[in-house]
Amino acid sequence: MIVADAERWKRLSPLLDGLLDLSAEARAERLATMRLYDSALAAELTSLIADAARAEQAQFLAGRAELPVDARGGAAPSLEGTRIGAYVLEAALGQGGTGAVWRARRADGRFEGHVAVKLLHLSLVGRTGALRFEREGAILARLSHPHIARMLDAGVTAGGQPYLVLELVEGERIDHHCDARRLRVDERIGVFREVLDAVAHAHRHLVIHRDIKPSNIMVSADGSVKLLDFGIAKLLLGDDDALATDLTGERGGALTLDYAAPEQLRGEAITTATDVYALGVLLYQLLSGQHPTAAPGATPADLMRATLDTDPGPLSDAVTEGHGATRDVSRIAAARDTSVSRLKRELGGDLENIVAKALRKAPVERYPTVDAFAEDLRRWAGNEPVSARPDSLAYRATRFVRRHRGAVAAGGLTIVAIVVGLVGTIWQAHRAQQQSELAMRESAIARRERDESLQQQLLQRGSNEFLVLMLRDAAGGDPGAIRKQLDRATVLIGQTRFEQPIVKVALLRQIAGRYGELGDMDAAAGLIRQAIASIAGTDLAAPTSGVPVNLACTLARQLHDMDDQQGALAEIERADRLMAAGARLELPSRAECRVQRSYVATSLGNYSIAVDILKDTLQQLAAAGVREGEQPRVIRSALSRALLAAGDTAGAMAIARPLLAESEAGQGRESMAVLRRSSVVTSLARLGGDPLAAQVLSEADRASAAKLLGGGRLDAAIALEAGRDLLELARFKDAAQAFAQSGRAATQTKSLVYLLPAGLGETEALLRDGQVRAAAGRFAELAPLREKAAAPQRIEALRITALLAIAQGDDGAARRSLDAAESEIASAGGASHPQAFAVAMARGDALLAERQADAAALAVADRALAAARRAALAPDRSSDIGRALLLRARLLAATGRGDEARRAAADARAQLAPTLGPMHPETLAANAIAG
Amino acid sequence: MGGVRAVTKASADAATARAPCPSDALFATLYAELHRLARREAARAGPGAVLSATTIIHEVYLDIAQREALGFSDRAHFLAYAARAMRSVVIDRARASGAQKRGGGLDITSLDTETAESVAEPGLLADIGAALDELAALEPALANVVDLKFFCGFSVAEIAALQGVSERTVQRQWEKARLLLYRALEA
Repeated sequence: MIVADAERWKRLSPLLDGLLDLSAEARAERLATMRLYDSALAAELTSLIADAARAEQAQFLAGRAELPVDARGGAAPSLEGTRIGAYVLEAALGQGGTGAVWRARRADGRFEGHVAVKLLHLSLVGRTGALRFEREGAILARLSHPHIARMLDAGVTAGGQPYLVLELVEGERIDHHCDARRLRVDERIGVFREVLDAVAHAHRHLVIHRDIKPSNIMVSADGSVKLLDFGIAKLLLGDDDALATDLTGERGGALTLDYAAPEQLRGEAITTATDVYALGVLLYQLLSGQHPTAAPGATPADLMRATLDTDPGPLSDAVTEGHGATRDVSRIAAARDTSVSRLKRELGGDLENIVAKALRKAPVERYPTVDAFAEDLRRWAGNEPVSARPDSLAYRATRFVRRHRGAVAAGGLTIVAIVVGLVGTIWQAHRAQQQSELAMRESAIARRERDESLQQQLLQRGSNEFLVLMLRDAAGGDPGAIRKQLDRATVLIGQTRFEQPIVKVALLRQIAGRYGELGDMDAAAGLIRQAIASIAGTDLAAPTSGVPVNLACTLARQLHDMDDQQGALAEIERADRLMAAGARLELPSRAECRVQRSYVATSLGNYSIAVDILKDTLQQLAAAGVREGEQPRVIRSALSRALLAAGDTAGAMAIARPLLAESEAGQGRESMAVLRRSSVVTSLARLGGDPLAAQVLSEADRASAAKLLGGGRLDAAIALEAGRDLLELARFKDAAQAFAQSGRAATQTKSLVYLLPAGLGETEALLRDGQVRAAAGRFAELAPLREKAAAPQRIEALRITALLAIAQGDDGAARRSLDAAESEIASAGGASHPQAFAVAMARGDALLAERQADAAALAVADRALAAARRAALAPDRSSDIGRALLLRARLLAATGRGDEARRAAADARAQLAPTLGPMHPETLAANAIAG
Repeated sequence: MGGVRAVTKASADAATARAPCPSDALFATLYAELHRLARREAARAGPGAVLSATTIIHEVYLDIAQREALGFSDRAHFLAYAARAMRSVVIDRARASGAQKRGGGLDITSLDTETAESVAEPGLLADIGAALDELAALEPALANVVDLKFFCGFSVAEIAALQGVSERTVQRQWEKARLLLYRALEA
């Protein structure tokens, strides 16, 4: 076992992160502090840190492993018995250009026979998205014909391996079959017509093979033909992939050059005529044993040039003796059960014209359909006149001029000869230029086609599959790129007429959600407003329709995040009115609306309303049987936050802790939702009186958030919590930095709710650090936000105003601010108000500054103590209780009541040392008074 | 501080007896592809040259990552997988070439002194591999960093960029992984 206790490691790992980040001294200090409240934990961490140092010193794994050259390497792990989709692999059949092929059987034994499973080569993986792969696979799976090997399934395993499940065909390649059985010309044409029949069927279903070649055509023992891999070339390569790049690269063999049509090499549109060309090459070879344009052993470059520029020689010439050194014409004739001269005669005439017509360079000059091709062969077999005409002299002349236009125009045979000699060089230069132009043109076309086809999908399917397609590219990627995709999607939706308005609403909502994830709330709210406008006058706006309610709630959430609480409340109230007027909304949507309502209430300081709403909603869901799942968890999370905000730490903790454990067990820590729940527990640790523990937790939260967000981005809420913990621990500079980070993150993501709290936190941290002027400056910047702040932040701002005034020696101003804050608190809950403690402590500071230590002053300390006791999670270990006791001790000392002061200070110290650390200024202050 | 004795007693037999890797279709395909590329590189470089695992894995990775259809998380996932396969390739090749050189003999090395050499020892590599499998079960990200850094030769900065996390994060993961492996091999 690498660690003795995996659960324990989960606890240690984030703590270790925090420690590894520190300098040796700071680390020792942190460990010393930790030892105070969990010595076992501290000892474990110390030992781990020591081992890390020893590993470092031993240069363990310092280099990199060598990759030995002179080794053949082990055998790849056998996949025998591995399950792929519904099939179990049994035996490897071979390794092809596109991947390994296995024989497999169905895992559930639902039918007896075997299938072939093709595990595709990985360099083909990314080419087609998994979704597209499966969708096109489904189209091909519908292709059913006796001469087409069926594709049964196409998919991608959970591990990411794409695979195809194909009908298992046993037999031999068509050319080998014909030669082995010495089939005559007419028999070969008979077999070939079965091939045509299969291709014609596929073309009628709009599937082009794109890779017809002898190795893809099998003839079984009973003589029937099966075409393999129909449409798979497209499945693998996509529409706009130039074939040539795949032929020349490492993956050579994925497609075969010999049968590629000129337009495939040029990267032009691929049509049914492309298959006609490949069929022409195939027929030429079956009949003559030769390739129509290339000599045996030609290099790929020669082959390409020949395909593009060399007219095929007449079929009958191919079997002329002495034509080429490597040809064994008599063997070819023998394989056709005939003599050379008879074969030459058979191949001349109509048959020659038919093959030539299939092999024309220009797609439009070929047979328009495979059926027309088949019809001519049928006529040939029946000795009827065929449609194919011999190449006329005029036709050949046109082609010659087209090829050597410059030379012919210049006239003179010499020049023609030179140019013909140079043709290779010219061709290469020309091709390079053509390639770059093509590439540009193609990408533009591809983009346009993609947009068009996306619109088609929008119209036809009326679903949001389009977004899935469009946005999965952007998932988790660079925010700039995602934004562009979203902008493009928005424009597309704007341009599209929707027959079903609900589709538009659904798409707008989805895109708004994605903008929201990017933190662009303006854009998100704009889209929702657009959605609201788009349903006006449609059925969706009917009084019973739930859609307007839903949209109002969605908008409320965005306005809430933008810190427009009044606007959010207005939307919520609109939703309430619509529901009161009979709008029908499913329970989950209704619950979601209620959650929004609670967020707004919490932000406005109406905690009891928020708590009631959430409890009620949980009950409604439970009554409907919804107790498990994410929605109840979301509501419990909101409830824990509302209770936290209301100052009911124990109540909040009773929900937050089990919720976090549940969520972590279900999803791990790697989700923002889970981190938010973790952050609530962190806040509760602080508010419950243990900032030291909270700080350790918040470090872990911060690390997880940074990992999750990536790119050095921060989360405003989590950085805010970290700032508050650091502030309590008197690490003022670190706190100021964390608050500043939170503010920046809030600005970047437009999560404006965090902007004012972060600014106020930064002000206090600067102030406590003695940077009064910087604090005043920062505070002044917040003026516009303070003016429109809701109650909780208004009170907080008043408290900070008072602290600033005390630091600046303006006791009158301090008093006025505190009076205002206290009256707000008195009117909203009084002693049990969640901010009562902080305001009482500020009042204490003011009184100490004024050297007022009368009975009224002691009453303030008692008020603080009462509030701290209410919030404390452990009555004997609370920093807030300790600080209230310290205030009391200071006030007592100021009035000369030394003994009482010492006792209070000793009590304070007992509370402060474990929660703030022994070296914290307030612990030390308590120590000093206690003596 | 005493030297840590590397546990390299594993004979070639014991090393080969251990089942090497998960039987997963994607993994097998990757494994075959990395080997193929390594063979090609070896042929290209000529005898005696040192192969770069980084180059090879980069090639496979770029080939995949270039293609737009892969989202970032898919790419990170893919890379983790490829790095895991590369580890098996390195260990298996070391095993095969070690067996060739020494006829299946055994070596004992101290990690203190001969780090660079000792890590190439097939026995130690196999032990690291086994410990990494356990680590992967505990905290996959940690094992992944070791695969990428030690077995594939990526730098911390590269790993951070490839995974879209901060260098600091990678450094922390690396330190944690290393200390756990060190403990495991020391035991």
